[in-house]
Amino acid sequence: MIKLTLSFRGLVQRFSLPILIGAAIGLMLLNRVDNPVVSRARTQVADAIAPVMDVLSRPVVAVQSGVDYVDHFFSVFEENARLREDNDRLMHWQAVARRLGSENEEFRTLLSTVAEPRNAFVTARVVGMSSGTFVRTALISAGAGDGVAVGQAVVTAQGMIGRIVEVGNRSARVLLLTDLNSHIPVVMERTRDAAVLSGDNTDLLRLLYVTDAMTVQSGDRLVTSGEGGMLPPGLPVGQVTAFEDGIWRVQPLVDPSRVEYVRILDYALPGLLPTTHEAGALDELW
Amino acid sequence: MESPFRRLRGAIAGAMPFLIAVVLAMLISVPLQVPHVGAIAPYLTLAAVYYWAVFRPDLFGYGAAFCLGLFTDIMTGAPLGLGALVLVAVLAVSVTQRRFFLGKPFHILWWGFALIAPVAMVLTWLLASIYSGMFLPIGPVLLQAVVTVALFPAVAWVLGRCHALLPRVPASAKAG
Repeated sequence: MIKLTLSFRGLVQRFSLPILIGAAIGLMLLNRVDNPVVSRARTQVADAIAPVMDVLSRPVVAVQSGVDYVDHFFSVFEENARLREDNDRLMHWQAVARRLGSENEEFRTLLSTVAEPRNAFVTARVVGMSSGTFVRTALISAGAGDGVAVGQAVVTAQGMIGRIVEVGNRSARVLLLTDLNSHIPVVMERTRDAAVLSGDNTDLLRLLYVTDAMTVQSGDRLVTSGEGGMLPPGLPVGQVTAFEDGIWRVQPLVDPSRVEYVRILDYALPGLLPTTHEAGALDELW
Repeated sequence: MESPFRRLRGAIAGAMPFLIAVVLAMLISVPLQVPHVGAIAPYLTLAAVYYWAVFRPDLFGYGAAFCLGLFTDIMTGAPLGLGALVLVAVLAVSVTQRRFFLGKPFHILWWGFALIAPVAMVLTWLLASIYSGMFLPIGPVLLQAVVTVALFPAVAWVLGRCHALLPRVPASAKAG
């Protein structure tokens, strides 16, 4: 018996290299078919690391805000002049927006439009970032315990940066817009033409399947269309920059590497999935 | 009979190369708040695996390289197994060449890393491309390899400091 165990250990040691290489390939295959066990293992490790990463990322943020502070100190006069100008312009826009808002309200009542659902949101810190050639994801410090769920949109004040793909208890992974696997249904703000915005692991996005490619112009803004019911409509996403190799390239509105806090939108489209109350009502009806 | 204190010290020393590599893996995922740096973030764990493969393979086995790779994959969100496969391969190759590097001046060691790092990165690129079913851009990978090789002296210096704290190589490992 002892001899047998000894020889087994010897075998494992002798063949540890091919065994581990085989295990790595096996894991990649399991990962490819989205095996739930692999996914759970990933989220559990991410949950354990998130607090450590949170601590590690603090000094970087402190240094960055120190640099920003000094930087602002030197440009305070130019900044002030620019802000005054901005303020004048924005006051004008506010007046326009108020007028349009009340006009919209009136039209909505006239047409009895169904009200858009309101977004609830969770704010979280970005604690890990991988913006390399192979994947473009971020790790954030909020998870299922805070109400984060797969598919939710992740935004900053400027616009959308990605959506949630994996959720642990207190951490979640964000698939950035620039990732190869990111495909977002969008509409052109100016023409309302639908398109799909795809990442390719570079800093620019690709505008695919445009309804009418002839009408696209450089500088056009894109917002989410809300098609499919996964994302809220109207979130600003990017701006068309250039026409390269037969496709339009789009600059995302947010550079994820500069983001410290993000908001995760909980968008529940009413009517898509009946709530328990509604389901009960349906049962009664039938 | 070893005293418990000595055994504890031995266990900590034995785990140190792996733990330092884990810290390096976490450091490269810290959001740096600087645009475009992420795309060329150095593959520091690769340098750690190479260093320990040459100097202390007795403390850094295939299991350690495998676990470190899995950890890196989870940190970055890469397909699980990708980093593990590459790091195990790098360890296997480096260990066979270690006799050549031992006792040589530092620039020879650096030169060795400059040969192995780009090959490892291109292997990663190839596996990631097969995994995603399309050719990913290779330019940033090569740039990343250059940055990783350029930073090797700094990583080796830190690892060298830690190496100096470790107990001497046991006689059994020297023979290997």
